[in-house]
Amino acid sequence: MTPTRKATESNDTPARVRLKVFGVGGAGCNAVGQIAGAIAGNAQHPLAGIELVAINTDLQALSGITGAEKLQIGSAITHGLGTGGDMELGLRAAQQDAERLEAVAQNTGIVFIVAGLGGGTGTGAAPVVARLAKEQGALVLAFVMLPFAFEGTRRRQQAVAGLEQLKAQADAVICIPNDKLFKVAGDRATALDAFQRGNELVATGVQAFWQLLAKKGLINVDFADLRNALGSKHSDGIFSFGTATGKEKSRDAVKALMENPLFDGGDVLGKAEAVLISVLGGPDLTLADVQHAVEPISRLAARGQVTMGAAIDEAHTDRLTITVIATVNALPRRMAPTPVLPRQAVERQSPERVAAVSAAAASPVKPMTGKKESQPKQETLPLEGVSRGRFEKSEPTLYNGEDLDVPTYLRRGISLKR
Amino acid sequence: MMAKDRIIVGLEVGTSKVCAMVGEVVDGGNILIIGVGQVASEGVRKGEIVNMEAATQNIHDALIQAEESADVEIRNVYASVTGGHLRCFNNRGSVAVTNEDREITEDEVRNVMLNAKAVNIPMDHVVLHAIRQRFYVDGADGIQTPLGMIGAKLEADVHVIHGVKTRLQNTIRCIKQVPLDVANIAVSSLASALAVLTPEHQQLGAVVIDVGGGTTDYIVYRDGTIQHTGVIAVGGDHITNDIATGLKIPMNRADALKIEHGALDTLDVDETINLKREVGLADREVSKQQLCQIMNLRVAETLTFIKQDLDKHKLTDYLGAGVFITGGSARLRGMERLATTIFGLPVHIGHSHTVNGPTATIESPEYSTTIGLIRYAQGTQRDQHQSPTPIQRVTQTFHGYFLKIRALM
Repeated sequence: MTPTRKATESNDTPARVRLKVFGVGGAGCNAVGQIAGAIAGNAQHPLAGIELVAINTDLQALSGITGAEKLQIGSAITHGLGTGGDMELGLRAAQQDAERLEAVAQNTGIVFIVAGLGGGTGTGAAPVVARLAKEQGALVLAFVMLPFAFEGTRRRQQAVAGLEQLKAQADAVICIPNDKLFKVAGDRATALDAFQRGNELVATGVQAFWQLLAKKGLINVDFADLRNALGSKHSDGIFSFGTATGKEKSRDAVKALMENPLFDGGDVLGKAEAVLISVLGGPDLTLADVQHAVEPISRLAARGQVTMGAAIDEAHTDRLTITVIATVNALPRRMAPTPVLPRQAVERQSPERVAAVSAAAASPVKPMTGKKESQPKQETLPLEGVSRGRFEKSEPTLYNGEDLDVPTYLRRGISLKR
Repeated sequence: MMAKDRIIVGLEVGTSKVCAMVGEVVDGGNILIIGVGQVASEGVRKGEIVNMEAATQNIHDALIQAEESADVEIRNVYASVTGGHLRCFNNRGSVAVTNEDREITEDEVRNVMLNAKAVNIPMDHVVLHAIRQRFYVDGADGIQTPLGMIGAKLEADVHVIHGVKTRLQNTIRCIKQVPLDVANIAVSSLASALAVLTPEHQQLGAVVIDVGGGTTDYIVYRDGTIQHTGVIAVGGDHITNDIATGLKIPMNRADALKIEHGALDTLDVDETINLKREVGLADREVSKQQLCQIMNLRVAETLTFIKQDLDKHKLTDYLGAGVFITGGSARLRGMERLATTIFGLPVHIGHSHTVNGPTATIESPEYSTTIGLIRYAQGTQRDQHQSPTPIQRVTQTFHGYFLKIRALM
């Protein structure tokens, strides 16, 4: 991510940003395979034209996939077989084929990594793939599926370990706990249905980004905005969507989105630092529709930086889909003002350091610091960092998206009389 | 020693204080407060336990005090719970009356209650209270006891309060470590209302707002039944914290300032308060106007949230008896005036009037919840068939949990 590269990209038309989906491991390849299957022979498909890459240690699993670039890794270690659930093997396999992975990630604007955590290849290789893609200058977003509770503690522990590593490497990680799939799919869904729904969710998430960048839209988002919102935050995210038709489609779509089990009551939205809202409608989409759809969400996400886009798709006439991706910084917020280092210097720091600095940069409080002298003397303005004081260690009290632990006069921006 | 079931102990593990109150049921069902134990709370934030060890110690100390002052041995307590995670909604259940003569029996009543309670709540939540509101027989409205009536369809409205199971269990676990038994638990707002409201108030319609140390709990009665409840995890602690941040003074000084000089009226006077020198702290002057402004903004905001919630549920027009504000922060100067302007309804600073005992104790609004717990206990003892009780639901084993899930499917 050198400054020159960034500058050229921001001048590019959105459609020229390359977006690749890397499916890593069994579950990741399945998801990619499913997307490939859906696109094949359907030029109208919303994801048509996207580049798919399936990465696996297991040659047999790869052979079943069509319509995606295939990359077998670690052939010298696993000899074309799987890793048998050993993440150490997955990690070594990816390291062994680092050069090939780098080559695939080259000249790509956004890399999506799709993986199921808990197994060997997905858990071990995904963080390596993320690091390599990042080194190639891509914005790396990971969609990961966590194991079901019934899959046992070992897989769960392995998944958690992999998730930590992935968070340290990728720009944003969006988790879909498989247990939530039950809620999405309903109690009577078969296992196959549930996994399929998981893959569809991933596809919807990828689609939301793809639409933002590639479709002609009412409101275009450019790649620089996206990178600005998500880049180097090492954040945790949620993702939800809703679709509706009819007269009240914008309002109903928001309602569907909020009722989606993935939304989880929206607590994350209130805490979110970056929120991406993507609206897709037909040629009949009006600006008022977009406003009605986006306004309630951006109001909830009062603390975050909201990036939004609205796209038009012929096939979407009289329908409106709204997709929200909200990310929260995974590391605890540091209240002490951290000097913002020049960007290149930041790059060479440890991930923790980078995240802390970007957190300080992203924090809404920051611009207020250091301006003490320039304020009029008659009034006390809220200059100090918004300290949570006594509530430092407790969960924030979120109410309609506001953090009520912050003193009212600070939130309202009321200066105290003297 | 007195008969065991005539002694009831209410325990509130609150954010500012841990308070145990010993009540004795005297003839005619009246309650006499015979002992109180109270210590400052150290392990609770926003109504929820964050430090188990400190909280257990506080509970232990408060109960020792209560035992000494009442001269009884305490074996079990009724405890209040609260927290920002609590949620509520109203639900209607319905069953067909299938027996030949179409008479509604206890079976139908039980089934319709089960049906009304069978609601979709998040996996990690548990139903704390499912309070019956009213019955309908073949659509006919407002029936209190449908037993013995004839009809084809029985419906019931319930008010369901649910919350995160593990967080509700924390209070129970602390009390059990003392060690003591928990006879039952109740949500704070319900307990406060039982102490503050008379049956006439409940019938006329009233909202009780309990502004505690860490949370503000509220409950709405209409036509004698509970219509709505809510918790906002903002309380006196927030006011103190706001003052500490705004005036740049330590928390303990801010708290003292709030109590001694604070008021909720927006003043237009040029008055300063001299903060006396303490060890290691310099003399300081603060503006009274700023102090009151900070407090006014915070409390007005919280009350406005409640007003908005009541408006949203279209309840404001049914509050004939008005607004009752209780809890420690109800004593803040100017509370009545501020609440009147916000709600546009008669406002009373509520304290418990349903018990007898040392006046200083029962007339302070901060004891409403603890006293109300004794009232609640009295009610549940009379009403033994109500099952399962909140404590059973919250401490239910996984076996029970699965049964519940199966019942929902």
